[in-house]
Amino acid sequence: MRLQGVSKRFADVVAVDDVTLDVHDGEFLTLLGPSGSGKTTVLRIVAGFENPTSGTVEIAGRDVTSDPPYLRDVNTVFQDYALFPHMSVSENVEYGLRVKGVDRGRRAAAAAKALATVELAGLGSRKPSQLSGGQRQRVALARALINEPRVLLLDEPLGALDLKLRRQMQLELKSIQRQFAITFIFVTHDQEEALTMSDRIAIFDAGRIVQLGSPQEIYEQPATSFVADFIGTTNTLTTQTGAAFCLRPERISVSATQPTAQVRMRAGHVTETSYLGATRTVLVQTDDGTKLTVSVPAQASTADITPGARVWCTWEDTAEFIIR
Amino acid sequence: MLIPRHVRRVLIGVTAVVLLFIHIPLLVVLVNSFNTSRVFGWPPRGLTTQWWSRAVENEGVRSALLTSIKAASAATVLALVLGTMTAFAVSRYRFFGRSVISLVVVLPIALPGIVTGMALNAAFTTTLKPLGIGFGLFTVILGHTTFCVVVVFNNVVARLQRVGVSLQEASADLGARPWTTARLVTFPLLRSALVAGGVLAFGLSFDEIVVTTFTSGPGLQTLPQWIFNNLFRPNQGPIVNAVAAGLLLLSVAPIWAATKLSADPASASGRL
Repeated sequence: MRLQGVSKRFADVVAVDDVTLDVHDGEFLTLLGPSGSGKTTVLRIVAGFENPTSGTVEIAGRDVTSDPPYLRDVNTVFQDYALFPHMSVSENVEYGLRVKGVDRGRRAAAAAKALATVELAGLGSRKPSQLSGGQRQRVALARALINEPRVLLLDEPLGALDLKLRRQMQLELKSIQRQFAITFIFVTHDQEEALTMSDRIAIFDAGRIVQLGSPQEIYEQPATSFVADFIGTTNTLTTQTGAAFCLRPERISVSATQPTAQVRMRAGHVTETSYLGATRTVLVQTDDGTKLTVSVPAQASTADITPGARVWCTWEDTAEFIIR
Repeated sequence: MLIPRHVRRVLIGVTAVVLLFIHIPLLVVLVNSFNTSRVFGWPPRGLTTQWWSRAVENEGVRSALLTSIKAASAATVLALVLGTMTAFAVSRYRFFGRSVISLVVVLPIALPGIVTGMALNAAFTTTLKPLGIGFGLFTVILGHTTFCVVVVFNNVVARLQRVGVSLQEASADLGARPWTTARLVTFPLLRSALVAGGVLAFGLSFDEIVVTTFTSGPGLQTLPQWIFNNLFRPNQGPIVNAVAAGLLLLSVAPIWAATKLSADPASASGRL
């Protein structure tokens, strides 16, 4: 799948600005960005619900830019699920096969299998209104998967679920993607979700892709300060010569005893600490006035790291990165 | 909300008085249609079904009823087609003058019937008459359609707004061509709104008298016109009563059905 120079203007707003993107077969690609950054519009252009103002969409080597949605070999899992309220769960799942003229018996068998895949076996005769949010989400997934699309588009599919269910569905989506070997294009504004699920992430800002890479590349070498701020927390420091560099909070060590002389070190005072279960966040005001956010394992001995304590922050040179 | 006991008693009392005030006259009509006496009287002197059978056999009643049913059916069908198309246009597309159209379409229901009636009368006289189309059933149907469109339009617009576009998008996404989507998704979601709008439109047309008077020609009489013309003729009084009682009983069913159907299936599914 390939987008070439795709732009979309609504009246006087440029929603998507010259996006070029190659999606590999079978990969899990996440479009990540704040709301209004154009990621959902890109998804809708791929699905065929919006026509790009300029640029082309290619699926499996064929230009589908002017094809309507029903001619494209892609399926969508909608943010609000968009289940047909007047049909049972089975009828919803069978819909794609029904409109393609597959006979009743084969449809029913395929629907039963798809429902089993998403662990909803036996709920086929219910109406969508009788299901929980998590179950509706699975029905929407089964309804899309039954068509064995080349590309599955997911528009913030987990947005309406509570945190625990979200985590569980993240893992299940990932395993379904591996099992079916389908290309997933997943839209989210949740950076943690993007990091845990994706093979690659495309970061959107103001209609443009500002960085495209693996989760590790994006986290460790953010291309712009927007990416650095959007993905995780970033500390920005300046050297004595005035050059700026960045540090991730978990790459900094904090100690109440002065280490032997080190170049990569700042002294300061603790202003605040907060316990987060697995980690503890320590805010340090250094002597040169910089505010540092440091993340340390919660199990580490921190009895003498309390607000007001004098501390020394140190880090490895490999932890430093520079943003242009 | 907690309502003090004495206030509640007063409210119950007022509600009862209002409901009785509305419904006792209707009950009197119903009972009187079985009264052996020729004049309105209470209590009835004796019971008889002769007025009912005479009403059923009355030529005037029969032809007026037939005219009313024809007019209401045709106006309803026209209103369903035009109202649904307009509703789709204003709720699914953006174009110049969209909000003006929404207003203008709804206006006839707010206009006094007498104004609509005389306006249509003048319009038909100047446009249809020269073409050889005189006042008659056709002009009555056109007149009724003007306000019947409104109820269909309102029902369909409300439904389209509630169901949104995502279900149609989902259908297209799953491979359905536009007509298949219309048949399998859009129409089933609109069906109850169409039935409710159609029943209301039929009811509106069926008992209309003002616009009808201005748009019907000589010799054509709808049932409300027949009732109005015969109500004060001493001989016809009891038959009019029976006809009115019959209409009363007939009108309860569609109103009940419309109320039932307005509670649409989509809203039952919680979020949508």
